[in-house]
Amino acid sequence: MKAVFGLLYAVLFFGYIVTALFIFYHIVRYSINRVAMIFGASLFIIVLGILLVSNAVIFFSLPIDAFIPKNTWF
Amino acid sequence: MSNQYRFKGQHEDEDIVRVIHRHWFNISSHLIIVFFASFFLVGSIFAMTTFFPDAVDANALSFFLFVENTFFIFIWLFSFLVWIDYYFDVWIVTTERIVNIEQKGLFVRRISELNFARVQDVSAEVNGFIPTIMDYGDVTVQTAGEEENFIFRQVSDPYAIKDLIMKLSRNNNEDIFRRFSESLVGRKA
Repeated sequence: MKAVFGLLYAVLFFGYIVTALFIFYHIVRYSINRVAMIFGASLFIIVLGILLVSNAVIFFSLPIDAFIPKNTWF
Repeated sequence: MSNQYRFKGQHEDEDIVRVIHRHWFNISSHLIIVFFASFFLVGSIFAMTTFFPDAVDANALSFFLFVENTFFIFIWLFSFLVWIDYYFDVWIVTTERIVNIEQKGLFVRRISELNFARVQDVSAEVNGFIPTIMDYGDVTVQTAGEEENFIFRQVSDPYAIKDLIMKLSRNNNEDIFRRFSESLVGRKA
């Protein structure tokens, strides 16, 4: 059961990373102001990093078995 | 201005006069959604722990925090997608031309340019109560021939932009005429 939720979470996490990479690429590639580019990219990566790490920590500390009824077939 | 900005395709002797974005009010509707969503998420954490401390056990609180954190990630990514759509939509007025860069989402980007020699007429329009109060509107640059008009949509202080383009266009035409005269004088001599 944990494996299924783990797999679903991995897919979601991968989606976060891919979207973040696209956003980061656009900020770095298409900015016409270097200062704004550095500031925007740094702010985005730092805050997203904190959110992703905390999200992963909270997920892996979740008692998944406690949320599923005992007689569930899977 | 030119030291601060640099765009791909900029010529060596070309200086950037002004960089123009849409008025901030244009993305305010999206930002209001972000603001209220964030306010609701933060408020719900405080409400849960302050008003219903007994109703929520440790497991439910962990799950609640996970859902909140997930929503914050979505809000953060959404904010930057909105920001990219706004900030990378830009009109760059240089000493030689106007460059229009249109960013539509993440995967559609259109760049067009208009040399001042092809500018025929410029008009500015502010239409509506909020645009009048906020001072934003459209600037239309009429081009020579059958080309599409260049439009600056929902830009701040459109009348000043109109005056700037007219001035640069006039300077450009005077420059061309002066160089042509000099070349004629040079031939006669």
